[in-house]
Amino acid sequence: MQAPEHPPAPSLWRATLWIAAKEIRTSFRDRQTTLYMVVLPIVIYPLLFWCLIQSALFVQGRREHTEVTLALGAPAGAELPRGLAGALARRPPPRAGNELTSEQAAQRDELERVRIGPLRQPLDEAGAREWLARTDPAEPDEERPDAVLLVPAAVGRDDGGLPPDTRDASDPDGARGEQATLVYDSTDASSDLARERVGQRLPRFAHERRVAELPAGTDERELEAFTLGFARDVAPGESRGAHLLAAILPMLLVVMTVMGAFFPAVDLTAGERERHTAETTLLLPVPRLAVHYGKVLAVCAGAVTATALNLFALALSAGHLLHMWARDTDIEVEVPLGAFLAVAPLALLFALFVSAALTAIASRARTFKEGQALLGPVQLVFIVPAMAGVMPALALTPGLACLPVVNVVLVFRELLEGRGAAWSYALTALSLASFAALSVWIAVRLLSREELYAGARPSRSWWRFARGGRA
Amino acid sequence: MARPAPDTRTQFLCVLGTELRSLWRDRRALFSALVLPMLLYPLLFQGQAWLERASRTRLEQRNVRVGLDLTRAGPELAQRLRERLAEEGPIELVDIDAGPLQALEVEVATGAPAAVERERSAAAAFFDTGLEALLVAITTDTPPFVELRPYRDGAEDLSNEALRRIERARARVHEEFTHRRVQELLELDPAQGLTDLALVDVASAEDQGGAALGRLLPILAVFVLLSGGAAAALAAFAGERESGTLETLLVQPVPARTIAAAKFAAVLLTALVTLVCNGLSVLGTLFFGWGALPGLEAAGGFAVGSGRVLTAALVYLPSVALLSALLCLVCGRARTFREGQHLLLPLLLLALVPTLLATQDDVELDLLTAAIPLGGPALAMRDVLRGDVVLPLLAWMFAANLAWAALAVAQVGRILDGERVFAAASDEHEDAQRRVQSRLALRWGLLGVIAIYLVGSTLQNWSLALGLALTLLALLPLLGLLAARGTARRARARLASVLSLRAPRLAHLAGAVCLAPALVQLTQLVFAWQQTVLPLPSSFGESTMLRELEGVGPVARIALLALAPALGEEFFFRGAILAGLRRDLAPWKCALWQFALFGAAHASIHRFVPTGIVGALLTLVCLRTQSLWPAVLLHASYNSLLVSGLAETHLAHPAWALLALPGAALLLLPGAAARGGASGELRS
Amino acid sequence: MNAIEARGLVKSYADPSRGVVQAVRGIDLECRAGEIFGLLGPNGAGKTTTLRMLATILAPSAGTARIAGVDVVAEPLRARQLLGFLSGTTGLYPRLSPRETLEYFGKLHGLAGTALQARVAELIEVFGLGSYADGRCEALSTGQRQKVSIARAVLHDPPVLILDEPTTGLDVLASSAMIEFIESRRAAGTCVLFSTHVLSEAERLCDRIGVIFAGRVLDVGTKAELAERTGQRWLEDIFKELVRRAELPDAASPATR
Repeated sequence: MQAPEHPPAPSLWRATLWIAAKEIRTSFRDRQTTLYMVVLPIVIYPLLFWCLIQSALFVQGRREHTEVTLALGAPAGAELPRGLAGALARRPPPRAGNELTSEQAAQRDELERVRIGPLRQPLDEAGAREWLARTDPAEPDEERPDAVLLVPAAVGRDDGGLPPDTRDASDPDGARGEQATLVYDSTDASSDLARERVGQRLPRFAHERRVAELPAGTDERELEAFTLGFARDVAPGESRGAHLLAAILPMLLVVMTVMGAFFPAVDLTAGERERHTAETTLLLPVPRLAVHYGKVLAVCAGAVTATALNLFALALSAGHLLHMWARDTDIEVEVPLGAFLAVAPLALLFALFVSAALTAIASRARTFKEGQALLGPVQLVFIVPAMAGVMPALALTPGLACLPVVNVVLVFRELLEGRGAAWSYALTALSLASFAALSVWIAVRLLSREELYAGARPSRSWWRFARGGRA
Repeated sequence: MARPAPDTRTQFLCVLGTELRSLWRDRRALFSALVLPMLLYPLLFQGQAWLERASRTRLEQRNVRVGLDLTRAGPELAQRLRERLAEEGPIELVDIDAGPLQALEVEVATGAPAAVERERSAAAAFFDTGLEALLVAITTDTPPFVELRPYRDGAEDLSNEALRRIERARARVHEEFTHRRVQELLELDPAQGLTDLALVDVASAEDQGGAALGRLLPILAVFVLLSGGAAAALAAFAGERESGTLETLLVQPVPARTIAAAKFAAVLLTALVTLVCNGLSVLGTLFFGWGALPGLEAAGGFAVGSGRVLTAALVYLPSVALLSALLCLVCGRARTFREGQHLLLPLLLLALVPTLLATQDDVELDLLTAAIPLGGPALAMRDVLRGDVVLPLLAWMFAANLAWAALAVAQVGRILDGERVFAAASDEHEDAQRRVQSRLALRWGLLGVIAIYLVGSTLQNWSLALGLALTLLALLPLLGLLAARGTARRARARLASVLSLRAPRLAHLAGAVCLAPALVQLTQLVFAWQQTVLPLPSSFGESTMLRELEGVGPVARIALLALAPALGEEFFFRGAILAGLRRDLAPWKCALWQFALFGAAHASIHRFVPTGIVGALLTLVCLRTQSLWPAVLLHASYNSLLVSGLAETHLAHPAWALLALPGAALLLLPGAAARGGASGELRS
Repeated sequence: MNAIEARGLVKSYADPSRGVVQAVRGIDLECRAGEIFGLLGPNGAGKTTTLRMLATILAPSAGTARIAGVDVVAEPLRARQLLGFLSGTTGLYPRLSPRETLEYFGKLHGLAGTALQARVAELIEVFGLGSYADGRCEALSTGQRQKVSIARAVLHDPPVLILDEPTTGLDVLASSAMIEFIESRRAAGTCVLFSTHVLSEAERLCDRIGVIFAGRVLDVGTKAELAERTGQRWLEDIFKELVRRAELPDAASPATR
């Protein structure tokens, strides 16, 4: 019998590319895949940022409109300083220079109110605690204050102070007696809010009292020994923006690559077995190696696409968000095109490494569900070292440059901050390339195992067979 | 002779037992749902704590080089500062000459950007010599005539650390010297004792621990329940449907409801076990000190008592039941395992929303919030953990949420309806085909909302007036046209009739205008009511928008804020989107979807409900009058009333709302199409 | 030269619970061109394994096999070019259309350009796939999928066709269509080796029949020869007799009952 003419088989690389192309094509035809890998990244960041902004507005709105009740206490015989209640009750006026219309002033008075409750005398700390305690049955709930401010004895008089011999007997050094004390409950929202408001308003009141006592003609600013100047930043806006990005993007790169490779890895191994197309692929008249390489390549393409889309969407949204939120800060976030281009080869190698590793592990699963269950924890193994990149003072040493996940993160960080070194880049590239090659080799070995394909029927057939062929 | 059927209880237990047994035999799923998280929590907490410690201590131990020029501050101050700086950590103080910076001070004080830039580059020169931060005493021309000004490089972590130390040292010296200055000027300090506030927290360690735990636990519980319960629910419903064993079960002489109940019980038990195991793992991690809760500064051991934890778990049981029932419902609808999985994400998001209430410290557990499904138990759990137990309220919460759970469980009994289970894939396909118009309309609607948010806000940031105009008069009509074209093609109708662009009856137009005052009052009422639960923050941007547009001129303002939205939004929402919706859905459903879309389009939770109501009403007007124009007119009138401020002044009187009656009457007159003979546009 | 030749094929594998198991214990086969050869045997007899070894999906633990003179172990690629394989578990890629599937396989077989298009068009016409050639495979009915799978298997006009239980799960019409197809292949000079349970099919189609049991070939021959050797008339009884003989402790002794 004469074997008929058959056209020559395609070369290994061409076959690999064709097979990868087909796998990619079928992946993206799955509506759910496109949804999760394309649509979701684009939509999720704006949505996330919107949620953040709205929840901040929500919280702010509620807090501003919450009125807290503050009770006052003082030792026997002390008088409250004049104006204390008024100063605590309202938001302090804005700094001179910001004029408010009467409407705005009225509006301001409505917000962040503190209702000053009754004054109890004498009241010490223990009494204040009891007053606040929930188990006090005598006091109906509405009259229980949110916090109690204990005014020190020394303030009682207009002339500024009591003679030393009237100091609190329970506090002989007078250390605590000289300070105002706020008794509050940190687990209660209103009480904590009262603490915040009192903490802001009391120092201002103190300052005003001092100013009131100054001799005529003295500038109030003389009360300070020196001014606390705000810290100037010598870094230009872009570099602060780059610093911010450098804290976030590298870890995101790793996370997104791993998550982007997850689904295709399971789909092309366990998924194929479920769909019974594993055998079909084996009948292809191409070297087996091409089939395996094609799979890994397809997974890699999926990871790269997902990462690119995510980073792109994030870069766009981050700019938008920062613009809305930080109008007065100087941070300028530019899309760091140079850094992206520079890290691209490393990112590709990393994606290859991750894809091969995930494909290798997923090939052990028989069904989609199993594949997902297997890969879930594996993702964490990749993501945890990525968090090392967020550690502020970690520098890239030759040792670290050889560890696969950590090196990508650190090199990307350096590139974003504009201080990459050639040797670290080269060493990282070499390390990633080696790891990628190693994991591809392992993946191919694992994918070539026969059990995968012999068991294309449910494994029960082998088991039954092993019992001697009885039906 | 037929044997007597076993009683329902036996059947129930039988099915339940089998479900649990097959779950138990799926070791891999069990491992990843149960065992793995238990191992991960300690790892996670520990890893996070280690990272934090490592990064903090690394920085705190590093030596920083700080350039000092304190010559203008006086010798005593300078000496003190040096001492305090040395106390803050390893530091190397380098003397520099900040003459150049001083020289620029006069200009810099004016705030001119060029001067600021010059100062920045002058300071940067010092950093190039290897310093991490600078502290310079600058002579100013306002009292107290000396300013201690730090400089840093914000892009360097070590520089930020140096700044932290400088600021701490500086604050201490400031307090000390200011105190002295006050003594000099005033002899006796009138603010004695008021400058420092000592804080005494009455909350016990247990309360604090409980509060921190209560912020975390409800959310964790939702995640854990959904992942553990999902494994069971997917296997019990979608998985069985896929493998064909559900069919087999349904032809046994067991009532479908019993089967459903048994499956629900299996899911419930699995969810409970998962919750308990994970909970124990988290608590164990905290108890043994392997990790700490975020927000808990106390380094002491975790102090929450087991009594509280048990009560908290008990209080959360109704949510467990409700979530299990929801899982069954969701997975019961799925035809395949993967489909079920994809439905889980929306369920998770849905469950998180009320649960997040519990993380808001200021949301109290009261009669209303206790009745919110999933939200009430979360709040109750938080309160119990922090020691706030009000028994009657808890009982009410328990009862209300059990009722919700019971409602859901009742629905579970119906999901194993034979027809739904046996429906072939082609039936589903046909079903999908039948609703294609409304489905696609909703997708376009969603696209429009996203486009308004993304593209629209970018345009408006660039130029408010132009951006608004472009969004409303270009973007929306374009999207609307694209959407309507598809609808028209599928319905084989003309574009104009699909968009309801026919000429309206005069009576309808009049009626629309009459409705405007009432609508304004209605939305203001809703807004006022909303203020009690959702108060508007002071930084809300609406008034700023009006202010920014002041320069545009009154006519243009009215056009931008009243006419343009009326035209653009009506064209898109009530023209294009409604065209698709009303072909498949009943009017009330159309109104509901429009409520959601229109409300969402305004991209603010504070405006969602009022604008949603407007959208729903406009939908009804459009549907009733069969024409877009009355809705446009109503929208324009409504906006004009708001923008011109007439709503607050002349039209505030409730009597104006009575205009709604003749308005509604006019609108209820039959539409023009019905009079002239329909062209097939009436909803089929 | 035989179209299919197998000598002493052995397949053993390691089962975690049972140790080393031999699925196929030395099978010899010879199939000629233009012949339909049927493999009969119960589940677990080793039919599927044997066919998979011949199709280069599995590697034999021992023994040799040749497809049209090409050694499957030494040159599996070349062997795959010369055979077409179809089984119940050989699925179609669900998200490709039939046309795309055929083009894909054609390309990998080395067809290109107009030759590829022509061949695909020819197959679509011959198998009547026209009405659904451009929809996704997952939306096809079982019969339609079967046709597409067959088209894929013969895309490259192989001289050898190996089918594993080709009519399982098909309805009467589709089953009958498959049978007609197999006969047409014989007419075209292809060697068809297929395994089946359905004895009526075997009777109708096969030129020669091989009976497999417990990893071994019990007997090979035309139906007449087998009938003579076992003394039974119907294929079912022939089969049972052969199995009975094999299960006796002394397999060589003639049957006495």
